[in-house]
Amino acid sequence: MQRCQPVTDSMELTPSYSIRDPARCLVRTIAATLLLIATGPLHAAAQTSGGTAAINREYVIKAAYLYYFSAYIEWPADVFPAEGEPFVIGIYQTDPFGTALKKIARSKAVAGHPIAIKLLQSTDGLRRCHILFVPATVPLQAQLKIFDAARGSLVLVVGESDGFVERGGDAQFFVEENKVRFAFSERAAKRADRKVSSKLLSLAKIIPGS
Amino acid sequence: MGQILVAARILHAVWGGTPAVFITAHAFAAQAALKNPAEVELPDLNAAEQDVLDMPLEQLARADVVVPATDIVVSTVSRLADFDLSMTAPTSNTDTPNTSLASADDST
Repeated sequence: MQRCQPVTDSMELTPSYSIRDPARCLVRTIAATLLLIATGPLHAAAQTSGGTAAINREYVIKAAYLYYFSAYIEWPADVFPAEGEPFVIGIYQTDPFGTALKKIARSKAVAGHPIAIKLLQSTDGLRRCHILFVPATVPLQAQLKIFDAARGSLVLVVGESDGFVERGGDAQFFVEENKVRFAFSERAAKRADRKVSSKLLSLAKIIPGS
Repeated sequence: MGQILVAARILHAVWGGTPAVFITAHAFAAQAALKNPAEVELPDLNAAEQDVLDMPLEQLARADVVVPATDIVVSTVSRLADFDLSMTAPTSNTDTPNTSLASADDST
């Protein structure tokens, strides 16, 4: 392998190709270094902690599902006190969705209602949500409080921790074979006042007795 | 995308011709400029994530959670950077200059 070297008479250079010119070599080295610095963050963004270039879309998929829950569940007209009132998706304590759910809220609507995202720090105001997402980071005791607060309301309580539906939740996401699946409680699936479409139910796992 | 544009301009100025990178960078910069101003506040999702938001329900059920990062621009720029640092000169006078992306890939 030959490195950059001074130009000699025996070497024929074209004006556009002067790799053997030391000055050009130096400039190129600087340019390549600048290139690496400029693109460094892009390399980092494409890498996961394991070093393999991969993207985890779990919460983007879950965000999209939350939108489809709102669209494929028939909400009674009286849950919207006024025309133009937003469809509220609540997130309990910690938002794991990044910008995905916000982007959905900006670009979509539910039966003509704009979508509003609300971050709840307690069960106060829980009943003003139409869907409440409970991340896996919410402790078990807090989950039970949420179920108590939502009991008898039309709020669809969606979680992602194991046994969420069995403990009293309406729906639960789970990851299986690199796909995000969801389960509905039998009670939520059969409610007459908040009717889940057959299309949504055909993709759901129904947890009997819940 | 601004970083890619800057990097492409550096290459273009020094090397005197990296048209593929230059055009690609300009295309991405132009695409970013066309975005709805109402969305500017939110950081962009990558292409694989944006695909998910455009999926119908049935397709969403088949969407993979973990997918390989296939950002062509990132990998192209990274390969060019590797090539530049090697600073390999041709071994004979008959070698012809070739700064195409394909030759950069082959040489690494």
